[in-house]
Amino acid sequence: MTLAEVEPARGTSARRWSWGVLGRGRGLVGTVLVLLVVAAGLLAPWLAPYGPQQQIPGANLLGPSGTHWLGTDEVNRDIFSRVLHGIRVDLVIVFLAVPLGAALGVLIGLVTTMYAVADVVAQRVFDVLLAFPVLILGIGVTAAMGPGVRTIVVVIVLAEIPVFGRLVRTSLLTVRALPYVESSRVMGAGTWWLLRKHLLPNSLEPLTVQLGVSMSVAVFIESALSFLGLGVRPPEPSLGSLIKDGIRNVYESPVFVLGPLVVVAMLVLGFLLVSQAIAQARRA
Amino acid sequence: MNQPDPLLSVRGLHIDFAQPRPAVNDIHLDVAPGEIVALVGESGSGKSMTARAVLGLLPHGARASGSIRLQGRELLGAPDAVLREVRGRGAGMVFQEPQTALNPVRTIGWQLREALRAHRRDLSRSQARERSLELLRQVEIPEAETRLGYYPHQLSGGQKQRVVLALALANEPALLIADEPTTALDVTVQAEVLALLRRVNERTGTGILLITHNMGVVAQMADRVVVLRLGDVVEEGSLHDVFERPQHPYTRQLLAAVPRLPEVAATRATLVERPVSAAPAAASAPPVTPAVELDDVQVDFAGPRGRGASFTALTEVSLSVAPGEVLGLVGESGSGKTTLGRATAGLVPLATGRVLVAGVDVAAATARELRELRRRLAFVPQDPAASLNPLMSVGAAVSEPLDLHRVGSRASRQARVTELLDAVRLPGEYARRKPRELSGGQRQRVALARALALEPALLIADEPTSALDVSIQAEVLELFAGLQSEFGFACVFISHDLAVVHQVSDRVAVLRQGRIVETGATADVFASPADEYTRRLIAAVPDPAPRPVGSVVSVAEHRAS
Repeated sequence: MTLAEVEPARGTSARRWSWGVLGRGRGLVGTVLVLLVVAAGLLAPWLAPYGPQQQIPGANLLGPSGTHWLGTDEVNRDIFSRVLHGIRVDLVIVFLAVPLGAALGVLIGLVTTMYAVADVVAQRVFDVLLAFPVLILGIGVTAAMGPGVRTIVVVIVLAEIPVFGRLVRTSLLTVRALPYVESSRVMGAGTWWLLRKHLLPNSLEPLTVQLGVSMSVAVFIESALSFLGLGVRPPEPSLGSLIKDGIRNVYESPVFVLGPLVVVAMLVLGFLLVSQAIAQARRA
Repeated sequence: MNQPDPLLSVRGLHIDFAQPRPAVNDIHLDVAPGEIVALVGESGSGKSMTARAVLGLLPHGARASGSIRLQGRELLGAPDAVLREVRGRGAGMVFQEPQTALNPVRTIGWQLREALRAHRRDLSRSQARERSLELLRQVEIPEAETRLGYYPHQLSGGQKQRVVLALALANEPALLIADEPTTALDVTVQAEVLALLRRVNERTGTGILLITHNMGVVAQMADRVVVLRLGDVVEEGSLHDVFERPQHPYTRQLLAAVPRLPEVAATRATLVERPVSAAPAAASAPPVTPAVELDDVQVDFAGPRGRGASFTALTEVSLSVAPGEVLGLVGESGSGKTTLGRATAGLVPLATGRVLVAGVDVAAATARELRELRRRLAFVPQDPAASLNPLMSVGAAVSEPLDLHRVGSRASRQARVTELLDAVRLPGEYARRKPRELSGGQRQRVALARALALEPALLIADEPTSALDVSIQAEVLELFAGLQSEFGFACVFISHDLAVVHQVSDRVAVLRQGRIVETGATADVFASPADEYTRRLIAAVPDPAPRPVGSVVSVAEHRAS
């Protein structure tokens, strides 16, 4: 019996998402929003017309104008320049603290899940961490460490570890039962081999969505902590502390909070849209 | 076409996605009132799309052109109101998976009532109940009155499919579209549901458009057959024309690829007279150490979280497989055949008993011994979509077992990968491809190559071909037989498909509810099954020969040995 005439059916497996999703639709909007803010932060020393802490003689609480796009504050500083420099703090937090928390969470999640006792212990610790609202956690950590960027980084790392630890556990449990993993086990593969070759690579992909969400939340946490005075200390600018400064005069003139608020909104929305685009592409 | 007024008439149907090839290219199709038309084809042939188009159920992004007329009414591009009127009343649909076709949180009665009230708002409660009972009796569900209050999970798979059928029949449609209605069911249940479909067709004169890939089902059911390939009709004709004088080479190939059970006829007619063929040499093996031996094995699954009743998946299982022997393991779903395979591979803990691989007790082996033992074992999983790590290239997947046991140098492993790919008849450059770039059949070949990398003494194959189309399955089985004689490994071949097991195995073990009810040489078991259950199982396999006239093709040649 010859079957050469019939060409085999094409592969039908679900295509994996590609970075292309960030180039269209909501992915594109999100990417553009994030890139704009990132570029503004990176180029702050060149873009900003004044230094972040430079006091401009005579420019006290001016409204928006051609020279001071977002106006000036109570101590004669240019708010636009302060916003550009304030973004940099958030960039450190978003691109350093979140990936660090994610990496630690994944590592802890992966290793503990492979051993029954460690798994139970780790998951109960995660329960405790997750039970704290992030702001309460932030207040607690500040009480111990004092306010500052370092504190915010620690808070965010602590907040992300259980999120990613739990997430990686879920996808690990799914991947672990897949036939190709079992077939490797039957051939004699040990725990570490399985982790390295099959489990880790295949568990990571679902985490990309959470990474986007977490980055979005991190911007929000920084703003909230700094707004409460627990984060970045004056006179150093950050988005949250700028909102706090602006809010003092919000009844007289709301323009002073507008700048930092828009940037926070752009970042939060941008990361959220990116993660949604990835999530959608994964489902399709 | 000599029918002046067909019930369903599809003309020049073309369905397009944003893909290079249209899903459905140019389909012409008629169903006369009361007729059963089978739409057959392999995956990607467009058979399900065609059926969905009739009910206006195409997925998002599909563009359809052409014409679909049901009872003279144009349905393609018809407004929703017309489609709603047609769904249920003009044409009813029986879905493939009864598990998901019913709402798990509502009773059977509620679902029937909903279906009825969709078209008759004025139906009173008692009228609806009356009609529901009538429907359940029509699909031959016993104790219809109590069943109305049942939830889907309280029914068996076959009964669920009957309820799905009752739902489709609720508004007395002129046409019933059955999309692989028995694919998810066990053979014995399949036989019952098919018989029921025929009776419904005879009693009510409902036309049936039956979508299936199973030629046996076609032969038992259809009046006319339409063969689809890649979105086009390649052949159409009466059942006997198509089966006895297939015109198109593809149809011929499709028919030739169907694994058959030659003894089915024999068991029915000449059970006693049939001479028992000599058992394969392996069955009367000299006293060598078996490749694997199971000694009074029992496997229990604990209840949820260790509490609750545990479930016994296997009990009192004793088996042995001689070196170089292929043992076919058959049974219906829930019989424990997969668990038996996993227990043999050491993937599930045993409650009692022992598994001896090459004479060594797996449970008592030290870690080092276990590693050495596992070198001699390999596992070929069922689902081609999950049998390979999607992130690993084909080459990496095949050489993984070699890397694992540090066999040879890097270069010699590379050479071995090419050799193995060649053994499963794949070009060497496939080593660089990712699994998603391969078809299902090709992926199963790679899984086979990977399993053979260490030249195992025992291969455990869990339904390695059940997810493949028949023609692909035939290729893979042929390849398997070739490799088995070349490498001489022993094999536990698990399948629900008796014809496949018959084709590949030397000996058969029949499992039922965790117990082995019968073992013996393949020819003996199929020719003269000793156990009542085995007999039922064999009789239930739909014979891929048209009903009234005798067999079509001589089938002896399909058995290689």
